[in-house]
Amino acid sequence: MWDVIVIGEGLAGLTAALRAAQRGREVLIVSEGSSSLLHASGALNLGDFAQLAQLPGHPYQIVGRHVLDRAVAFFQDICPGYAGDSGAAKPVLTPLGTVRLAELLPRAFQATPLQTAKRIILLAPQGLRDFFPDVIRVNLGQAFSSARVEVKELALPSFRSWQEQGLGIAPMVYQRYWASAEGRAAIERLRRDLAAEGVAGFGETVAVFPGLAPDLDREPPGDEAGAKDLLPMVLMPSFPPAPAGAALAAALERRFLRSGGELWRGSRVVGAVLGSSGSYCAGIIVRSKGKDISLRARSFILASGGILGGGIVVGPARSAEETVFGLPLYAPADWTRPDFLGTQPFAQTGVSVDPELRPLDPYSRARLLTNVRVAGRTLAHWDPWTEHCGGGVSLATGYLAGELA
Amino acid sequence: MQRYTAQVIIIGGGATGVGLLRDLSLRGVAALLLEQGDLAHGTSSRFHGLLHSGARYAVKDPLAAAECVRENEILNKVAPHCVRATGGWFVELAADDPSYTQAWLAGCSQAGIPVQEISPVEACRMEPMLTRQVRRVFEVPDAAVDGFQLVWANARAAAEGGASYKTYHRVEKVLRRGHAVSGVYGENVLTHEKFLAEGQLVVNATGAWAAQIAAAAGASLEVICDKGTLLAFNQRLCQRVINRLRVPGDGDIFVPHETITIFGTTSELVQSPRENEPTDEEADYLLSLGADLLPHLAACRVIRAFAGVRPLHADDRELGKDGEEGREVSRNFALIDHGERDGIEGLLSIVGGKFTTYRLMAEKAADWAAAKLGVTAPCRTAEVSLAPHIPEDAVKTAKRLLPAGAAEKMVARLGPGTPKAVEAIQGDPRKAQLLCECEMVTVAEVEQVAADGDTHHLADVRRKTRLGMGTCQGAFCTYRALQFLRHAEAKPALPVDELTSFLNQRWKGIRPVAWGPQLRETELTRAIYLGLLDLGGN
Repeated sequence: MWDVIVIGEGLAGLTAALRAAQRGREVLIVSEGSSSLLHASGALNLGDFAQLAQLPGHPYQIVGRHVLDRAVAFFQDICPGYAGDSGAAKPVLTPLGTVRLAELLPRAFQATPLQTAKRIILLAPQGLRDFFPDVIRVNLGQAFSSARVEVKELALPSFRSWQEQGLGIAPMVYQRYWASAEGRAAIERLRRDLAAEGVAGFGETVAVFPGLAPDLDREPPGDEAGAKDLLPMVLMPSFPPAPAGAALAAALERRFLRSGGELWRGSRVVGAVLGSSGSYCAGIIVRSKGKDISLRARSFILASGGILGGGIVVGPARSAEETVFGLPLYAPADWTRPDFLGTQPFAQTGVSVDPELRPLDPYSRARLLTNVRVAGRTLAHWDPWTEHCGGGVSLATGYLAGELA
Repeated sequence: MQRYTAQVIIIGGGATGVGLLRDLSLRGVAALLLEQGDLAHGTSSRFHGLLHSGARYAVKDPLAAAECVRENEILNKVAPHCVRATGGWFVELAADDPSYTQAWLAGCSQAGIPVQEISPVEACRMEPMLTRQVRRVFEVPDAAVDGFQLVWANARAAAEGGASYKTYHRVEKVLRRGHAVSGVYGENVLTHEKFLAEGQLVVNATGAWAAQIAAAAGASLEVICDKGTLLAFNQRLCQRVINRLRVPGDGDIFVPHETITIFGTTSELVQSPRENEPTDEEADYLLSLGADLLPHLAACRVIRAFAGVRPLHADDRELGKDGEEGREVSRNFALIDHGERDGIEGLLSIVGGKFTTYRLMAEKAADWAAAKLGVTAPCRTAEVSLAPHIPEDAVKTAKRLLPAGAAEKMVARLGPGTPKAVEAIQGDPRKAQLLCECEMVTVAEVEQVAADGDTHHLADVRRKTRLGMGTCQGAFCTYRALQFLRHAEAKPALPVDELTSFLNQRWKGIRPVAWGPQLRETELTRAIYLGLLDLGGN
């Protein structure tokens, strides 16, 4: 018997679980696959709170500004690498070398140093997959027009045989090398050498390093005392699966386990056991290692994701279903629009909730399960991609669910 | 202004147009083909990819049936690389009218279509997804044909024979000197440069656009635009073409292609060839119909829906009858000599017809042109092979350098271009990496096709390589392919318009089937392009 069972280990689930564990709850996370953060760049968007909180049913309207602020502070406390002024949008590179804005960034992602650079060195690890130095070079040149952009290829002996066979090296594979003692030493040596050969004045040359996960437990080395002879470096996120997103998931997981939490991965929830009145959840049935196991808890947090994460499944004739409790969903009748990158109504599909994140019938507003809370992408009335608030909503609703559970 | 000269100007780069271009090149006639988009961008690639045995027309249209079975045989012989001789079944279900089957058998026999009966038990063993409501099953020589490949093979062969074609050249006016045509005038839609193409004869092979081109010459022509919608499934649901044995109707043909199945069609009269957008209602309707033949259809992943506009010939019919539907109109073709009909000498329109008989239509049109020009060389397209010569050692090397499946696909798609791609991979093994994993398209292949003079858009690369046509519908390959479209200096490093237009084209086909795993894939695509790359609102 747990105090809290969290379903899902994306950003919302991990945040909820951590908050509940920090409050002394005994917490179990059950997760079907891997964290959806593996597909995230590591840069988190909060979006325009004031504007989004006006939208009917938007999660920001439900939780309020103070919850978002507390959630962000809580998150930064756990991941010091994300320190900084959380409210303001900061520039971060895209994997194609253009610039976008995000509010909550690992400091090593901040592209601000490039704005004053005279010379940008794009480091190009040989064979890195989904990395296009020619395109990035031109885009960096357009975004930072006062700088000269050069490409410096990095040939690593460890990957020579990959290279000879023409194999692409996924960012996650490169990351394992960079995280090793040998890889860390190689980066430091490189930065020292580049700093030493700098033609422009020191500080005017900045390196761009693709696909490297930032160190989230510490301040980045560039800011440390004694790092003066190292060339400043801006990290560039990669296409998924991305080391920075994986590093964030790993940091949150480590912290959760250290707080005494338990995590069952590869465990799909196949059903729920409702209490006699039907108004609360007594337990869930989890299929783990081929067996169905019944797990009981005082309260449950549903953070199983939306259409992408698998928490919501849409069948032919566009009928949407919530996969764990079969909760009734808000689903728009007008399903899609022609402009792919514009607003898509189907993205608003999800569970409606009360101010304490408990599920409601979307039409009658009747309360459904009193000890279940819903967080993240399973919620209705928001779209992380057009509203640029995926990080903020997941943190705020995850935090609140963990606070109340 | 750009000027061109040829004996014959062909308008339209679909199967008929390129077929004619090649036929004329074999007869030694100098011809030029002008196409407003990319080759095969219209109806020639927007169909089920069925090479008819003629059996579908056996009852209603014996002439079309006989033409089909003859052309089917010819194409199997001259273009084996574009045809998969899967065979096809006509399946009578318990609910169907047995007397139709009798009429159908008689029609097949009269048209010379070989038919062999298969027992229902055996049929269900061979096609496990087939309904158990099967009463009778007949095998005919239906086949799957790759419309893109066949069009490209014709264009390539014609070019080798000295003919030329210009894509993205839109004809605006057919020019006349007195009563005779003298050429055409139009615009290169990419550069907006005007062009003038002079020739003695002009052939209008623009399919669903034929009425517009005839009007540009001052002639009137009635073409019925009949929209047909199809669904592409993510797996091979059957190993052979499966038709329902009854009066031809909606949703009664399944055609397996490589790793997918195309299922169709619908038939709806529309006002313009531009109305080729599949709808939610059509997708739902097709799914409900298909379940009669394959009961578990609804559980299968649909990748996309697409629609083509059939150009049906209407001139020799009484039009305006209420409730007339596309299937009631003949699928036969007609050559209209505007000299005889409208007093415009040297202008021919080809209307109606179907993909399977493209070669025959081209032959008849070429006969007309040859007679006008006093050329006596006979048609040779039924004998001369379209299969490209690919050096044996290049194929062997490709199979050594690439996974077997990827090598075969590359050879099939690149044809005579294979040795060049193989050489590129030998020079840099990284080019063997799969840029499009769903359709197994290598970096070398995309690079080579993107560098072609007639490749201007990502969609052109798609038609030539199948890039972005598989399961992920462009989620990953789109950003990977962008780098190769930059060969022209003027193009920006991140051509947002190009990317947006490619994603919107893909989305057009996903929208009607936006559910299940494909919708999940769509969310991942949105995450990449809107979240990670922040391309929204640009």
